Amino acid sequence: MTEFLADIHHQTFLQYALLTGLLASVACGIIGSYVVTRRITYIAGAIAHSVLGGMGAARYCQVVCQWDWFHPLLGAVLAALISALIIGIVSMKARQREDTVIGAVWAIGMAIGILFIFKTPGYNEDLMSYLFGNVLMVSSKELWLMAGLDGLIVVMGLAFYNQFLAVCFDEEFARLRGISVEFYHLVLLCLTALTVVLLVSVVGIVMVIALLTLPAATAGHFSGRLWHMMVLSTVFTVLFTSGGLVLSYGPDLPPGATTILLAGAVYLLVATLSRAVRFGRR
Amino acid sequence: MKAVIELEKVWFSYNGASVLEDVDLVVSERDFLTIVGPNAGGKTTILKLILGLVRPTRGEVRVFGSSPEKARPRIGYMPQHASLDSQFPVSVMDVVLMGRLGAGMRLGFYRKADREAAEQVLKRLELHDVRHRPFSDLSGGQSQRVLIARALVSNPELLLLDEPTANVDIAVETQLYDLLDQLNQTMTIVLVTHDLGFVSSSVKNVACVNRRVVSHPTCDISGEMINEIYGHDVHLVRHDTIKPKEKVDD
Repeated sequence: MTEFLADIHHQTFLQYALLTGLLASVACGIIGSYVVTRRITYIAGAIAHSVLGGMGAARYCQVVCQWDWFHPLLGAVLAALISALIIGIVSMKARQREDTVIGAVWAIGMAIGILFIFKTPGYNEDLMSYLFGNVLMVSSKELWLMAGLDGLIVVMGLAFYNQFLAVCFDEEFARLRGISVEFYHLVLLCLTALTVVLLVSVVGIVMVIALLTLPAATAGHFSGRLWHMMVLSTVFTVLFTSGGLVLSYGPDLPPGATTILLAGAVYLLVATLSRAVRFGRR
Repeated sequence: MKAVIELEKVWFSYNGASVLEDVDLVVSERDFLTIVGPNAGGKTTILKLILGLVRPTRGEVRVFGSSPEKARPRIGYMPQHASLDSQFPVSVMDVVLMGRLGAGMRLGFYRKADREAAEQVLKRLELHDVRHRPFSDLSGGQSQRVLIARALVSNPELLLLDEPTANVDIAVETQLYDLLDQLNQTMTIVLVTHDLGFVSSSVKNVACVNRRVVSHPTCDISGEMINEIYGHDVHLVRHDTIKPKEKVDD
């Protein structure tokens, strides 16, 4: 902790890492609350894992085809959006096969990524940092990209708040009131996809679902309205990402995994306590 | 009197299984119709046909003389409470405002008129004091009334209710019926229930559904008939045209 505080003033990589966490937290708090209340965690999981396909392909194109502009983050955005649209459209057309599609997108995306990374010359360190995250490697260019994504997610997520709320709470009723449920479902999945990309930079592909859902689920125990849940969830995510970074820095632990363990511990604590309180009231 | 709902020779099957067969049903203005029948007998399906959420396999459904989709803005709908997530973080006011979606709002925000309409309905249903409370904190009777408020806030001409008295005690049930009686003076009401014992004096017509539909004016229903419907487990209504296959399990 003291080491972190001493170094943050002169180490830009630490400042960038902290900023990345803060940026991701806002999108994560808002979209995570929708994901938890609409119960689409597994869709988010599939989107997250399929992102590897986009990142691998982009890295391959950078190294082999010299397409320098094709940054892995851009590949991730494309892969995430394509996966979100595939899952969204197929689940609307054939509801009972939704889980099969989710599983297929999940695995196929990863398989594509692994092939590309395997065929990319040079060190294969990329694979590890995509899978488990490496927030200490974020560059200023990536930070700007993420700030742009974050702004887009937050504006869209808040502008359609009432529609999303209605669709998450009672889809059928929303449809009867003339809301295009299909449209908002797809928009929500696309926003989830973009949020997943932000979180991949913080904790890596494998642990994205935890960061997307645990803070929101924790906040849910204290929230009577969806926007309360969003604010509180954002605060929790800030605490978890910053806390994970600070705690991991001294003993040289992976920050992504530390963040997730912190989030998991707090979630379990809150869930247990709130159950105990409810039990005590009876 | 003007017909509000017309089902003409409607058939409906789901995944090959027949749910409704050859249903004719006319509901006229200011009617108070209760649809009764065993579980899985097709009651809720009739409501969904009227709302245009499902389409008949054969036959025609007209609401206010046009297609159900076009009639939707004029219909208030209260779904089964059990179909909602009881833990959802949403306030009473939030829920009621959902009834104003689509109608007046622009770019995702409710207008002052929407809030005023919601406040008015909440007052009328004696829910104004709990309007800021989480929906999940309410008692069974209160949450049923919130869902009715949500259906009423768009000033519908037709009110459809699916099992509004499930999970509420007799006192609340009576209150609910008084309220519906009052509402019936200005709007047509169709209510689905599996509990015929409780059809109140405000109900004007009863439609018995078990794949086929048979309608009666309430005055024709005697205690004996109710016994026949629910006292024993076989007969729905003694009609030569009906051969119920499913048992009544409530």
